[in-house]
Amino acid sequence: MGNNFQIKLKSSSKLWLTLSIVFSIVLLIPLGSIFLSLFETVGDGWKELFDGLIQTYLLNTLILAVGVSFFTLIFAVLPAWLIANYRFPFSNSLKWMMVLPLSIPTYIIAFIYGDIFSFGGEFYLLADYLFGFGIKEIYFDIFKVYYLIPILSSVLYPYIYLTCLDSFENNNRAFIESAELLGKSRSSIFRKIALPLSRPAIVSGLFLVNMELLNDYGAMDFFGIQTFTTGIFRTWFGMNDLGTALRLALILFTISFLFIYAERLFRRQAKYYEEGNHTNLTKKKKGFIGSLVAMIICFIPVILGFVIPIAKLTYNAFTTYHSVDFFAYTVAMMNTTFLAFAAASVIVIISLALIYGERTGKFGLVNKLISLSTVGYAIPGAIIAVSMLFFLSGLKSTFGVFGFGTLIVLIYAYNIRFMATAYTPIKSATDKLGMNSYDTSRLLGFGNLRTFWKVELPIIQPAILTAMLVAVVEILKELPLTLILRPFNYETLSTIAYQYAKNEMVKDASIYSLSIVAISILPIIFFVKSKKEQ
Amino acid sequence: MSFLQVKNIVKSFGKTEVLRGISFEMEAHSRLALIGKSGSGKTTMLRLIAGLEIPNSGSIIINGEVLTSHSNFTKPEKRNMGYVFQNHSLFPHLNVYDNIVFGMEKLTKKERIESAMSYLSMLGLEDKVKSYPHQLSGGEKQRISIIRTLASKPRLLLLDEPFSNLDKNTKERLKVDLKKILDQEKLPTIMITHDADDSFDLADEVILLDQGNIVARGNPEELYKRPINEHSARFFSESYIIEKDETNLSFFNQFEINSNRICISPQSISITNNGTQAKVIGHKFVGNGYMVILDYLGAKLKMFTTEKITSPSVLIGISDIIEL
Repeated sequence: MGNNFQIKLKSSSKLWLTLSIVFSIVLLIPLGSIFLSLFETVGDGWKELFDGLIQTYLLNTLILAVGVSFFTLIFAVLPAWLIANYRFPFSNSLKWMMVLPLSIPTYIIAFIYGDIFSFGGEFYLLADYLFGFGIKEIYFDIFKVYYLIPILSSVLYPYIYLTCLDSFENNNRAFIESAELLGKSRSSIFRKIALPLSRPAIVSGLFLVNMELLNDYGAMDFFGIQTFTTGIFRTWFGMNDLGTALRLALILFTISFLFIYAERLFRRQAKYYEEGNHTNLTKKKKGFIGSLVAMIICFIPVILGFVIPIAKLTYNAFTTYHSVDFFAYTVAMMNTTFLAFAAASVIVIISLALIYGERTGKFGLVNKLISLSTVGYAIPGAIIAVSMLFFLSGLKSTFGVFGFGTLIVLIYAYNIRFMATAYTPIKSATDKLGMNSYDTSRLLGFGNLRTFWKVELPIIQPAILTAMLVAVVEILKELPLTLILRPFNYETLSTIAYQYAKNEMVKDASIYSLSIVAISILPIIFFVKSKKEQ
Repeated sequence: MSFLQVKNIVKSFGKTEVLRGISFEMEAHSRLALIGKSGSGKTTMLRLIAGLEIPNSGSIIINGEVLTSHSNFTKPEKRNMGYVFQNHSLFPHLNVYDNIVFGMEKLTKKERIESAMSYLSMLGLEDKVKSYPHQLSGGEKQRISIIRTLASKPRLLLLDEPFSNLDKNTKERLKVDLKKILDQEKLPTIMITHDADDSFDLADEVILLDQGNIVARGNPEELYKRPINEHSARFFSESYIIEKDETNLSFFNQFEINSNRICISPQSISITNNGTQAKVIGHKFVGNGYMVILDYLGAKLKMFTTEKITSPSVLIGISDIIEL
């Protein structure tokens, strides 16, 4: 058809199409501009990088990636298998308790364990009380990359646990039951059937873990570990060398994209693994010893990633509440709430525009652009911050507009980073809904926009609420972007917690950290409730 | 001029060509069934008529109005077509009444209530007016969906496998209801189905699609009794298609058949005292009788009988052989 483009355009909703294209471009421009940084002049920082620093960054990133991947697998896979397959005391409660560490940001867990194992910390007091060990006899320096690995793993493992649990409970049932009927024990099935079949689930969980790791700034900075993210901060703020910071961001960007590419490649190749009948397995009852072992295996990650940190934070908050500046706390809480809700609202509205542009449009290229615009979830905050600054500098030199250090720019950056958090649940709800309701409404005489308003919006409301909640919590926990792009003196719970911890006042950071955790738990409760209802 | 003209429609999804130059016409007040196996392109054809898909080339004209062509495209909401999906697609957040009046915005409230209630009472569903879709059975959902479509007064009704997700009893009841409504409304209708029985019950004319091409067209009863080609024989008739080979050569010679491929309707074979002997190789109970499978001079045939045959062979006569 000669005029196929015009006909396609005529049949699409022009409003959704225009909005989705404009928003996709707006979300991608700052990230794309980072490639122009190659032409920027660099300072001494760049030379310093090649005097061994870049090897340190690479080595630390590699050690952390391998170590955290290993520990998160240990913390997640076996408990997920035990919970999916066996009945033992607390197994039902453990199923959701295992997810709780997700509410603790990586920088807060680092502050907590850093404090517990610091000289004179609770670990040594307990060792002295229980076994009579003197501090000097057993003291070790916790602030090493190797010790940070299990600490971070204790809050990152739920990403793998959730994908594995779903895979073990639902997707693999037919294969597991077939193997059982062929006389295999569940432990042999675990090794020979369930683990290989759950590889895609494990890989996508590992991908999320590593993306969180690459994004982290607070924990690395607190532990003094030199990585690309801390390098970007150091060269930019410490050496005022934006050119080098940009190039570091570009290297980190490449590493992130390699991860994204590897994950997508693996997912595409492993599609056949995911067939299943989505019905839960019949759980077997464990004996006394078996129950005891299963409980120990499942409780260890929960205790390390949630019970100890919460106990420590609560204790600290009680002992330091008299010294808390409640005015500063209230302002930080209000700033955080306003910022999180304002940014999450914009994120939800833009994600709706992107989804409906894709849903109602008929242009493959536009759909690819939209899909690309949600890639920010895999790009560390520091990169987004640097690319925003670079982009805004370009705007200033061209149009005389800057805007750096304003809330609008911070919200813009949150949109780039967290678009996927709202896009994914809403997209999954509209995909599940299918096109029949939409088409029916149009055939009954309603246009695209009225169909959206009258038919689809009421149906996808719960998904929009979930999207809003997840986006609010992600923004609330976010640190590197907020630290770099916030307006001068604009404090949030996370920036104050970070500053206290950085100044070795971890106890004073507790009430702020506890507030972040308390709010972050909400979507987890919501998630558990919706799972139970299902 | 025909009511609906579909001219040379080509439609591809990626590299897969789903419709390969389809053309047909349809008169007002007629009921057409598009039938074919899964993947034959029948749903795509229906969606193209509704404006839910855009063809690569070709045109669709209703009452002289060009809805789709190389330069024209009327949006689905402007076409005034009624479309019933196979999975009902009732809006889950609206009750039965609100679902039915959804497409009746131009009417007054009184007219809407009257119209909705008259359709509901026609099908005995008045007590469901306040129910929500999740409170209805599969058959009720599909009937409400049909009412909703009809209540919007479309100029052409499109039914996309309306019986496919229903059990046998519900399906039969819905067919009766649908026939009653269609007879009363006298609405031109295109129905798609993969079940030839549906077309026997509801359509005046059928178009058989295979791999994106029209392979047969005609009255369903005639196509059943006398398939015009191999496609229609395979789809409508219950008989085997017999291809000439060494094993059945004597069968072809006895009847002096010139064609290399034939089919014989089960109703054309009967037991007769002066017939020829055929070996009974199996039989199947089909509700109102038995389908007996016979070996006759090396050719495998199906014969319908009302009584079960227990003997190893029978004497049969053949009244009609269709050369394909």
